[in-house]
Amino acid sequence: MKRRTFISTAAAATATGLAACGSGTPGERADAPEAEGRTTVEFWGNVFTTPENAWYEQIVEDFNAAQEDVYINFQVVPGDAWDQKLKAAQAAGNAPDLYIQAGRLDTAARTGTLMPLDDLFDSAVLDSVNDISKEVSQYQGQWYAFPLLVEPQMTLYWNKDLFEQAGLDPDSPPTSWDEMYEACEALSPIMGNGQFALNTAVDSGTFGWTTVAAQMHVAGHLPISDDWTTADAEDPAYEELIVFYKTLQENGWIPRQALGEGNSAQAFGEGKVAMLSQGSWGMSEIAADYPDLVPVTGVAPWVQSDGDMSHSVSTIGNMKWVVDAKAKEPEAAASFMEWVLGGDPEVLRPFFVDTQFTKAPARDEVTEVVNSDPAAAEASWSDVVFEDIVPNCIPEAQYPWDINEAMGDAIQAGMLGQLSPSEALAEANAEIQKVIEREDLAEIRAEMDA
Amino acid sequence: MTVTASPNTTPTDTVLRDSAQAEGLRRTARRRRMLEPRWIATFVMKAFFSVIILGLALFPLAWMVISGFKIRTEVVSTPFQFFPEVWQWENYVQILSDPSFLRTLAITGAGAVIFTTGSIAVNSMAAYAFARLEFKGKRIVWPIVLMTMFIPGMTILLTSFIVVTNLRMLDTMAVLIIPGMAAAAHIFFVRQFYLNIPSSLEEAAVVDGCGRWGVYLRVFLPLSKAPFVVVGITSFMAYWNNFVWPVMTITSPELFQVQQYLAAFRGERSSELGLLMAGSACAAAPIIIIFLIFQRQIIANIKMAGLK
Amino acid sequence: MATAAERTPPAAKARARARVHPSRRKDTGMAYIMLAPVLVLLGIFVIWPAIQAVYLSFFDWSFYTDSEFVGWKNFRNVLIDDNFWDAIVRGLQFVLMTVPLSLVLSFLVASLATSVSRKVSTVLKVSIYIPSVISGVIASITFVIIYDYSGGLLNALINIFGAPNQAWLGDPRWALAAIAVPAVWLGLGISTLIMIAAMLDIPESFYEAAELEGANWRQKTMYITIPQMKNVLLFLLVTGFVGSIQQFELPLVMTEGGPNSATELPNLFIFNHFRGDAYVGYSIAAALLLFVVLGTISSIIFRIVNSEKLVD
Repeated sequence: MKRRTFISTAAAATATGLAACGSGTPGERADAPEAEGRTTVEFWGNVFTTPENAWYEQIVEDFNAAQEDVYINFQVVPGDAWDQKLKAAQAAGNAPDLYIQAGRLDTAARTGTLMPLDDLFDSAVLDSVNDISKEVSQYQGQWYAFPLLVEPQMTLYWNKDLFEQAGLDPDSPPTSWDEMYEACEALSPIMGNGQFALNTAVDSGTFGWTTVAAQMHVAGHLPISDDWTTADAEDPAYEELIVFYKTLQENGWIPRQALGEGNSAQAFGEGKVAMLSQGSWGMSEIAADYPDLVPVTGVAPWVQSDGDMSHSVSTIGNMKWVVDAKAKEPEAAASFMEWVLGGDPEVLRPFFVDTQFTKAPARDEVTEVVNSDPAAAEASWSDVVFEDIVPNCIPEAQYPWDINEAMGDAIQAGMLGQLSPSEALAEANAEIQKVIEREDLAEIRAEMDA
Repeated sequence: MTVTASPNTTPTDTVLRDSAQAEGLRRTARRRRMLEPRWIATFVMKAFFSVIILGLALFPLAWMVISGFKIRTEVVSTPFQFFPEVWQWENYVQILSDPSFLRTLAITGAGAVIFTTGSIAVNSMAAYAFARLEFKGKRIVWPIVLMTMFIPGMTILLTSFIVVTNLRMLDTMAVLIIPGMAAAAHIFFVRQFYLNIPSSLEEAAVVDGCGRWGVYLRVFLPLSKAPFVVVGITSFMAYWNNFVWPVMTITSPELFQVQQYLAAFRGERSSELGLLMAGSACAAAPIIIIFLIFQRQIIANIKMAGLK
Repeated sequence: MATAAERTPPAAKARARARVHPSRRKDTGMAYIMLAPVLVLLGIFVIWPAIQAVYLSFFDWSFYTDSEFVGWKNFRNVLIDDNFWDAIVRGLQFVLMTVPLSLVLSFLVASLATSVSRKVSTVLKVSIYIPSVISGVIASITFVIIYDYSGGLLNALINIFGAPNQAWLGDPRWALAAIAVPAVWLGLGISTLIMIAAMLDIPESFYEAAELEGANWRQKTMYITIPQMKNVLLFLLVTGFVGSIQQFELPLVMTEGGPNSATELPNLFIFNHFRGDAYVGYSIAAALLLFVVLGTISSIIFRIVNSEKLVD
């Protein structure tokens, strides 16, 4: 669960059951006699949750049927293969025209991988994007992506049935670390062998991106100075963060090894864990694959050291479409993007409805349409996501992944007791300093701010 | 094993060794030995180890097959469940009625056969040349060829990809078959074998009027079954098991290779563990069956090589 | 090899010459015809990419911007990177976990298979051989399920003996060994089969003679089987080392190198850099340095074993 997870799960779980999905065949695409005489756009997408995958298939089909000039050739690339496949294609100069990207785009834009979009769209279309989505789609004031959504990357899910069985109030989830310990202690006796009170990240890669907000929350800064000149990981507050996970681990409240495949809500869905830390997309997976669990699932902001839910409760992830810098058909790709992402909000409505109102659309007019959907009223968690979590999120870290990883390594090593928290952080600090010098981060930061 | 290795060279044996009478005594002794406790101990040890080996070798596969009969929540269930509650065929039926899966198996098998044949042909010719022919530049060419064995695949993964892209081989069967066909390790192995073939055989063929080509075809090839079996098996496996290269080079689903298919399957349906295990079992089954059939020939070839 | 040949005593040299084809003057043309396919293929798909890799390692190249010559920067970055050296050491640990075990096991299985009745022998050969046709991907999928923390077979098994669940793939103490197990399992069949072939190649008369002299199993093994199998053992040792230290499919599919890099073998380290970094220079430089390290170690193995072979 290293870089891949970071990239493909930052905004959506790597994969979940596709049983209900029509296209069961990996990488299958329609044979396309209708593509003849049309401009073909190669479009690569990742594997997301069931309703998302279905929506992608549908919009491609709809767009291909709706007009006769452009044909979208959509290819699903599984998370396992995504990085190396895209990397190899870029090296050989045959990357897809259009693909989906999560996370920050600064590095990709800076190294010229992406095509600036300002000239491909009418400015009115780009102006309709709201500020939070705009921030993740631009580099040096220029558009490099068309955003689809933003969503919090850390929320707390709890199983109300199990809370009740454990004698806890099913309607008040823990908010602070101490309350989390108490809840775990109460839940442990009712969980069997191989079952756990809580499921969090347990591997360094996942820690690397899921704890960024907590790092900010406890210490008030990230493990690197704002100008990216010096490492700043040796903060006693970070030691406390490590101790938090160490405590959960030592008491057997969280598993020592990730349960099941990937970063999914599967263990929660199957009742193996009573609580889960997961991005807001977890709800879409639970609703699609474990519908029985929906009535007893609660969603809340993820626990914070001091229980203060007013700042840095989660990072906010995003999903956006980007055009390759060497795209052969940028205009055709843009026409598709505009049709789907920048046009009639009704095209986007099923996406946000079927993902259970857990993701925030990139355009306010889409938000209005989605909120007017009759099902919105029943999705009680939606209010939690949009009123309690999203406003108190911080953006994803912009520094290179190595720095996330250094912190993830420190948390894992400290959690497992391989190193004391201070030793682990000293190691992370040295690693971050090394990355700063190797990649000349100070200069890159200055360039980004230019 | 330690029981059979216990010392049995007693002083009595040494005294009897050279006498003609001893031979007869020994025969009787051998017959009698079958009733001795040590012989029984040896037999039991052998049987014991045979069973252990059988179990260890086959268990993970059996586990895969059993898991294929489980519904998705049973595969890694708590509390643990060894056998499925209900043995249900659904996973196997579902995967085997998927035409894309069957097509993947067929195309991977076809590619592997072509790859293996080509690999044996080109590598054994080279091995013969290096083992038996004296030619200008041999002292330069041989170390270079040998060196390629030690170039880690990772070093050239990216640049090989650029090469096949420039050769317009991407997304064709050629990109799977051609680049890996020549392999220094195979040349090295066959050459070691050829070095041990007595030159008298070769000289006899030359006396009969064979050229070097004739010597290779009529003397070396017929003797090569044992190394060819090894090279063939290794090549077939290399092709069938290849994962990262197909993922990078093949994009059309019609040309998907079996490992690529499974990995994609795992990526797309990670919670469908029962189906995944059934798919894995079915992806393993054809090649296991092929090799079960082929196994007899392997044994036969080894015997022929052994009898010379 | 060349150095070894130079050191060969004159008598051996004469023997070597006797092995050469009588009409060697005409051989050059024929030799290159026979070598042509291999030389062309290796040239295009191995040697040229290798040269290109060396060239690219001196550049910062991100595919989309003009590449910039940076001299030895990439190499320097790799050499001062503890993570690189940790990966190399981890690779050697992995070799030590897999290769000797694999050689010993296959030798024992081969010995057993050649000493039992024909039927049993066939069953043994077939069953030990079947795992070898299984791919790394399938083995990974299967072993990940066996190692599953909360519902896996292995933990259920140790629970019977009263031990608590272990995080086989999540605990840095276990993870590398947990990956070594399927690696040995996958590799055993081929090496066993090669050994059986080699054992059957040893003339039966050698053993009959030894038996007449009252030699036991250990003596026969030490003085007949192993010396007769030197070439094969050398082959298996070298390919075992090269194959094992380059293993990366199992950790790629099973752990992606985690936990805390405990299973990040050298190739996976490079692969993770390749797919994660913005520039490819670092990963190519790391791969080249790995090549140097591997080449050195391989040639040491080669020389040690080969020099022993020259003695007899």
